Amino acid sequence: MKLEIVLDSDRAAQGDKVTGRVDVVEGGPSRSLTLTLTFHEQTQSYAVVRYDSGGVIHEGEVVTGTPVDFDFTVPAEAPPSLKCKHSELYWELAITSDEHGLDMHVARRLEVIARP
Amino acid sequence: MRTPLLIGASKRGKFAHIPPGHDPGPQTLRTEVGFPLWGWFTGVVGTGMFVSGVFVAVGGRGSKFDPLEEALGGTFFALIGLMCALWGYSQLRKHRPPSLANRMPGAALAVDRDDARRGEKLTVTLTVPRSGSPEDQPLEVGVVCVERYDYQATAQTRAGLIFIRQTREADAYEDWRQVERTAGDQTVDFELPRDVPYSYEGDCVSYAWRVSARVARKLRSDPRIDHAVWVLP
Repeated sequence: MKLEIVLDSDRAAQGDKVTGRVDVVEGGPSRSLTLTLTFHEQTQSYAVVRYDSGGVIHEGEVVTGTPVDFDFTVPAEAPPSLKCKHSELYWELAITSDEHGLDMHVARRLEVIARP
Repeated sequence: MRTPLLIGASKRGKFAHIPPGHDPGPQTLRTEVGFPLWGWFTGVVGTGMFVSGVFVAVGGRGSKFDPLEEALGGTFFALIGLMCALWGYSQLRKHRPPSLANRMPGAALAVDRDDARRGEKLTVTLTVPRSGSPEDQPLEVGVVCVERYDYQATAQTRAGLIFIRQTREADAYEDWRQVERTAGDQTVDFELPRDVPYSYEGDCVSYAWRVSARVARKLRSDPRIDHAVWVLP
């Protein structure tokens, strides 16, 4: 199975609704697809997930060429993405396919900006 | 779901880098330093050893002892004591920089507000007393953002390699302006850029903002007065 996350916009402001889809490049058997939004702190040596939220966006087999649409809302109090010399704060969007054996996992970053 | 993290919460803090009304994060709580007892103890004992060593080295114990042995032994003892005293002092200074208020009695720093957004302006007022420090040391006012990040250090021991979690600091942003030493109030405006870090209290990363007044000195730590501010995104 091969999945790709496609977002309508690569950046979103605090409290914004984000829409996108999961492109099924190569389909296969799956119990469900779960969407998870996580907030990460990262340094050269350590990484911590400070927030996660998500839910199931599709149940059953995924079919090649049939995209799965999704939308979610960025928390209104979400700390914006930030990169410094020694550390980074970032948001990540992940899709997990629940399968027999090892689950499949794809992820991509979402740039969160401060609400003007 | 993990606990949602808030950019600012309400509780009066006891941490110097967090203004009232904001909570310390896990990293701040984990690295909190209480009374530096070990540093004080080493410093006091070291100072005592230094004074005793000098006393012995100059023949303070009288002529019944060999002067050469007294000089050598006393000097060695004094040097060890001096090293302990300097280590104790460095531990103290590591957590508490020298105070500008002690060197310029009456000096005070005020900021028009404790919370500001990136892109907004902060107005800082420095009150300079009549008796300033020497003219060759510039007096400056600035805004500083300190990045505190956890780092995994390694050390080789008899038992093998061990990993030590350390928290290090680096200036992520600073803007210093030199001010006149004339007595009275001096006001300086700082505009916070939009692309700088905001205040954040995290688990392995924190960003702390402060307004400072300092006397810039060469090869020594700068005496300063700090005022913590909270920069919102």
